[in-house]
Amino acid sequence: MKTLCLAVAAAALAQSQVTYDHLLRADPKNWLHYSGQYHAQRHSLLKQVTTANAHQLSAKWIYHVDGARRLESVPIVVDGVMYVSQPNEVHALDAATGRLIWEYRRQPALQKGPNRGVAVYGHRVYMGTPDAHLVALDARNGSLLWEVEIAKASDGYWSPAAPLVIKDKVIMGIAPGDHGLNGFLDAYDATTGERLWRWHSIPRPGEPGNETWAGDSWKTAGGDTWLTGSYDPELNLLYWGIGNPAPDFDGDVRKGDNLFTESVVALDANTGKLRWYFQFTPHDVHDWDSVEIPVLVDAPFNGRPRKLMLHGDRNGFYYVLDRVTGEFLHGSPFVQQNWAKGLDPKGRPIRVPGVIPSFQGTKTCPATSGATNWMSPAYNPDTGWFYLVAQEGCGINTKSRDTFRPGGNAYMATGYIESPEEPWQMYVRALDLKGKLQWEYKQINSRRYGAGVLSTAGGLIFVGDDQGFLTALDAKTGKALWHFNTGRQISGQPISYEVNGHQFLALTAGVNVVAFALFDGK
Amino acid sequence: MWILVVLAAAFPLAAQVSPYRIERAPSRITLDARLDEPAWRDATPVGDFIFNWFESGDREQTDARMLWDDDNLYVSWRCQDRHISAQVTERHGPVSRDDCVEIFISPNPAKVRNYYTFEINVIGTMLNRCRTDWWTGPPTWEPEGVQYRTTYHGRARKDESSDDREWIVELAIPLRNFARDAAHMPPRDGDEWRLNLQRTGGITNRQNSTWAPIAPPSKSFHTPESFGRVIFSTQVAAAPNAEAGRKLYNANCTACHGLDGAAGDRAPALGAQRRYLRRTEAELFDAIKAGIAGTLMPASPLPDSQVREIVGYIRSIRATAIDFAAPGDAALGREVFAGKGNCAACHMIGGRGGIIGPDLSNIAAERKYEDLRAALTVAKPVPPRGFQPVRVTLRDGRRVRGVIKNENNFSLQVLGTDDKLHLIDRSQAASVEYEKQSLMPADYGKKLTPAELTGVLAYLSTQSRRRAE
Repeated sequence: MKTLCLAVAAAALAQSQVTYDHLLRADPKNWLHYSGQYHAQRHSLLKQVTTANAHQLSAKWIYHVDGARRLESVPIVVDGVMYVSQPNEVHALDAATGRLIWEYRRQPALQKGPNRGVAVYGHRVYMGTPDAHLVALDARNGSLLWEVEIAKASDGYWSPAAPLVIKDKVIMGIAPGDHGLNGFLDAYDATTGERLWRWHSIPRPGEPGNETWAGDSWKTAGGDTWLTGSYDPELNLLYWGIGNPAPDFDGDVRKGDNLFTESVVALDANTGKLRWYFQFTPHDVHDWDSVEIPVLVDAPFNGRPRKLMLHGDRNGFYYVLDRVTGEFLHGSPFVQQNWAKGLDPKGRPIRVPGVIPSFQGTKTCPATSGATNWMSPAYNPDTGWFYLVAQEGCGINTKSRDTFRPGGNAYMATGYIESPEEPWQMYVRALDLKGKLQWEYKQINSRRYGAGVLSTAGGLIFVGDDQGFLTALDAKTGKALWHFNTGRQISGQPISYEVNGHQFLALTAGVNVVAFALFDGK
Repeated sequence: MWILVVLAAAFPLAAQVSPYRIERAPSRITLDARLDEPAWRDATPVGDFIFNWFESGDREQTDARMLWDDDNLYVSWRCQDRHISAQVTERHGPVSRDDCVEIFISPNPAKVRNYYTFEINVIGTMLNRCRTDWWTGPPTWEPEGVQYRTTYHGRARKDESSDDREWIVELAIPLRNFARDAAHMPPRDGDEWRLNLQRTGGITNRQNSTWAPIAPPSKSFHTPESFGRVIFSTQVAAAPNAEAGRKLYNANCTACHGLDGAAGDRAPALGAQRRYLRRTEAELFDAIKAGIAGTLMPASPLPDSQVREIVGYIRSIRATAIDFAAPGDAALGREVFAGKGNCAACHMIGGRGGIIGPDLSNIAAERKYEDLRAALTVAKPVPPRGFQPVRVTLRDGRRVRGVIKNENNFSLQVLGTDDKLHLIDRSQAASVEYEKQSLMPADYGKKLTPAELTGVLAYLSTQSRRRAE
């Protein structure tokens, strides 16, 4: 009888519903959001694994996702159950053992990817799909509850971003801007799937910002929303990074600042109304999406406590904004760059003339792949430092005259290649709040993006790379303390959670989900 | 060096002919002595015939081509001739007195004296011999399954006529006839045979000519040591007239694009590898013929045939070295590769050579001719991945020099200049010193004579394994 009671208790735990209060508090035993918590600091408060014992980490289980090619999903963990996705699929796993509980496979098994993860709220799992739908599943058995169309897949839209749940709303972004499709951000009723609001990232005629697009160029303008943003519950403001304008490399046909591309926007979470915006790269011609995750930090800045937003942009600059007002407080490059002489007092870049794509090709640093990209950054409140993956390198950017063709055709007006003079090189960099480099960890032989970083209260920074290595660094020094070869390129960010008293580290690596914990002799 | 000079003077070497690549037939060949299939149109001619023992008269040329498939070797001769005559109709008769074409084949280059002959006159009579060290039969030989057609096939005789212009022989020889001497059956990509193509006979303006020159003092076609080299290639014959296309391109397209496929002021470089550029023959044809809507690229008024030639040119500037006959003496290049150039110390071709540099057995299918030249003459800004030279000093004092096959923050996999693999834990390395320059010398433009350099490039331009089509 006693055993039975225990079993019932455990079962109840695994089936507990996620409430808004859970989402707000974000118990460190769980990993409830794409970026861990609403503030997107990616800092786990678990501290069983520390700088002193990280060398004892060992692989606990590996779950192979059948048919996967390159997973970019960040798992969600709720009370011992892990939800991991790939396009049109969700796998629910026992987070302690890696055993499959249920899987959902939507037809057709489209490979258009990636899918970056799910959100869980109530007893529902939410996922975007390659044909631009929002799907709600029952978290207990994977049954399909409902699905709604976000946008027309036949137009070329799709939904790779992980949803973000705020109160009873599911916030969903959209892709791609490279096809000349205008972006937006949606809120859906978490229970019914009804759309509650839509904010258009490209202002329509009569809306503020439309004047920043020459002629009709706003009609095929991009500005997608393909990474998950962050949220400040006190201000009730939703922060989201906006993608590039289209065509990517030919600015001649879309003269103007091209709002709200290459910006971060603050929206009222209830209504979707724009509160403020800050544009990192006005009139971008290098495909430098500003979707990189806005990290919300409360810390003293210039002598007084402030509500800050930290942002490492694909254009090579690190920014600090006041997230109440959008005021620019600081900006400084975190990689070598050749396109801006600096930022003016308002944070607007002072362009170097001529560093724009040309028919012959123009050397541009950072390259279009960017100084950083989808790889999540982290903030450790103990060190007060911002950690991000940075790519040093240049590209040769070319342009042409392109024509918008509906139906999901690329509308980029050509592209870029790696500059032949020196290969790209990946780093993990620790910046203080003012952007000053504290340490860097060169990922030797890593020349392409791997994964983002995870900070833990144990004083560690975990990072995956394109060579398949998961490495634990000392958050204070950048020294490598432990590493594991997962065997395949890592493209998803690590997470941490706790089950049965054990702190786990886990991530998607290539075609597998891999979980680690301290070696316990079993 | 002087020894070589003296030897050369004492035994003058015959002029040599470049190896001929026999490409795969792209489509079925109908033996009708017409040669109007695209297969023959796209096949490469072997080049002008040589009049070895010329005294006087007209040098009437022959356009000979070869193709192959798994079953047959195909040969065609198109013979300029203002005086066409033949009268031998008896199997194995003396056809070489008539206007006649011949092919003599040594399937084993190491046993060049084992050769097979096929002689066919213009009215379709054939003579065959099997001159091998294993043949014990009669002086003549009955090959299996040979099929052919000639312009005056089956006639009792052909007399000279005032409207004689040219005649054709089209021949298919089943490859199984050579199974006893050939290395592989069917041949594999890169297999080398030796053979010669000949033409003889006639009454008025009787001449003898051959593809591969016959070294003096021999005055006979039966000189297998002089046979030319042929290499079986799995590449499918397709040879648009790139030179004509280049002229058309430069005359019609350079208002926007650059000369010779370079970037222009208003349009991109067509020779570049850009993902937005049209690639296939059909895509390029359509882009030129119809223009690219919404861009400055206009529709061309040129006739289809000329558009096709421009397409051929654009594809040619994107093609790799194997796609074209490189100038220069490949045989000399092969010597330089192994000798003076010291290339084989680091590079392997066909399983022989050094291991520290890239294997070059397929390099002509991977690189453009200009890239090969640049590799020999222009230093790279950074050593290529997998070939970064490094000097490692280990904590125990040992030193390793080599190239990095792989590395990360925790280990190094080094192929040493001692040809050994060194698998190094980075924690055991006292120092890791990356050399700035690749081990590949870039001064062959100075080290070699122009003939040697083009020779090496010609040799490299023949190095190809099977290509994905």
